[in-house]
Amino acid sequence: MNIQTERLENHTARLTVQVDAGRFDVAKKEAARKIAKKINIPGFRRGKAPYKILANYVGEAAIIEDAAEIIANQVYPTALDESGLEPYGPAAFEDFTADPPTLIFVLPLEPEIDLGDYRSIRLDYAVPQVEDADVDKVFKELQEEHSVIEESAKPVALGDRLTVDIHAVLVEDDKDDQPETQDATVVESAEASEAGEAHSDDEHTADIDKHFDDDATVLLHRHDSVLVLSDSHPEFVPGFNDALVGATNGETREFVLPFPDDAEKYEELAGEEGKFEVTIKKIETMTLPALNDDFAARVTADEKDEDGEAKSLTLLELRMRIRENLTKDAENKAKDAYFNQVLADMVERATIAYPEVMVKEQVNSRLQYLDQELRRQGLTLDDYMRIMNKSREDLEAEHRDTAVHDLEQGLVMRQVIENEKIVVDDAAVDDEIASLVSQYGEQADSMRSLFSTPTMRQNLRSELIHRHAVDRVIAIAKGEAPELEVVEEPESEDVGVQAAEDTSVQDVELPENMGEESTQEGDVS
Amino acid sequence: MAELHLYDVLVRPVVSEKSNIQAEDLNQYVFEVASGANKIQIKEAVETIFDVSVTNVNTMVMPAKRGKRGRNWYVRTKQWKKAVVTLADGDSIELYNL
Repeated sequence: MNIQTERLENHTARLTVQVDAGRFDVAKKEAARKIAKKINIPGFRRGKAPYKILANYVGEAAIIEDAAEIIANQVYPTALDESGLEPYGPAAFEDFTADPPTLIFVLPLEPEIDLGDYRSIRLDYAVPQVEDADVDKVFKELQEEHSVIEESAKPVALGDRLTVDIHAVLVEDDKDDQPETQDATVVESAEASEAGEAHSDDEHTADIDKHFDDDATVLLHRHDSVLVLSDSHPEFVPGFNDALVGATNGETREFVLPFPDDAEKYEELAGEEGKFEVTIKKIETMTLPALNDDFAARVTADEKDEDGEAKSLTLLELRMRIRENLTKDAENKAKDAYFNQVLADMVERATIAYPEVMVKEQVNSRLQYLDQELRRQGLTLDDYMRIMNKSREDLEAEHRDTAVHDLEQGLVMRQVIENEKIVVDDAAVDDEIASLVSQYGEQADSMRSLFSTPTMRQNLRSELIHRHAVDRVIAIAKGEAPELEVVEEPESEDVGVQAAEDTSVQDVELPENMGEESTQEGDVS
Repeated sequence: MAELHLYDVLVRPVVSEKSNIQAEDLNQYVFEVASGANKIQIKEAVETIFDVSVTNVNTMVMPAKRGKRGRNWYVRTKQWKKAVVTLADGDSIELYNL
């Protein structure tokens, strides 16, 4: 058996195995026997036809094809062992030549990730600050939630709640902008519905019909929309609320307001002008409750202390609670963003090589997920493709970029976990189960047995590992990561850490000339 | 009746399990032959066509058979003449190229 390997692009390898002729003949006989059992040759009982007659009847090529398969299965494991390749998945049997009998496999290789000096990544971590104003805003919302609402006949004032019909169009001064503004319509209506959600209540998102001026780009068209004219609710455009002040019930106001030059918030609309037409249908005053302990007690009426007894909070406690929650939220958000940034940086620095198969798998799993989502809505992926008028190839192409992105991040994370030797022992999993189970109260026991199945344990373990890894990545970028234990492996990272340790334990930053140092060390030894 | 031409004597080789065994073990080859052919004609035909020497020829007439498929559907086979030709030692016929 003669084995040759050859690296190909796309992180695959070609394995060429030459087999002894005798061995191939045996395989041919075996293949013939198998074929003979399946087909009927007149004059012979099944499986009784001799090789020559069978070869004449089905053709030699068919037998060789089967024989190649048989011998491939026999030879592949040993050939793989001897070649020393590490395949990621099953090899594709590419070609076979009969003379001399040679098998050619193409196999995807295990991904290789070189993280580079990922430990030297440093990014500034902005600790999110919770301002008093933020807390105040939450209070304002709470107040509005618990306010007394009365219909009023007085003109509109700030702080009132209105039910209005809104129709807004883009003021077009330049016809050339037409295609751009078409896009803008979509953007604005999406944004508007977001703004509308803040008011929620009984508004129904209206259909956009262009009932006057067909040329104008409709930004907003809504009936019976509920607006609250206060700081805690976002305005469509700055100045919108002010423009309504003083209007009486039933009045229709028309006004033109410019969108600010804030491209981030308004996207294509920035710098454009909108013409608004607002009809007031109902004016309600909102009387906000006073901020005192009573208010706090009312807001936190459902609150319970450790013994399960009703216990409401004082105003100060409520304030602290809100601040705490806000801080936690902001921290989680900042941490997430920070982690993603660091990870992106790591991906950038790393040299990642992986076979195309992995991307395909990732794409498929994404599509499978999409399918599941659709099924929940009573559709299948096929229906979706028909509705969107897309082929599966289109979808695959669409998902490819994100799949590659996810895959690379996943691979980098995996390598980080390996390099940083993040492990989670059984005790930690037990703790996690305990803390999860404790949330279920009375059903704790049944939940415990559910969580204790091997697969669940495995899931929990990998989740914990991932969590640890995220923490570690953040720690690395902050420069707080503990030193790695030096292992007897001539890997560049480890050598680097060793070099860093030599200089100083505190200073995690790897010296610029780390590579040279390590080579010098190599020379000495 | 016109004289039977040499190349019209042999109709087809009979390829079956039995003929296979005969060919392998006994150096006997089985043919369907024209029903009017006699042993001498068969011997001459085989010797000329395959360039071998024939030591013995046995002939037999295979009876027509009637099988039934369904209530009133008959499958019929015709009567035919079979010849088993024994070749001299060392000679052989590559039958299946015919």
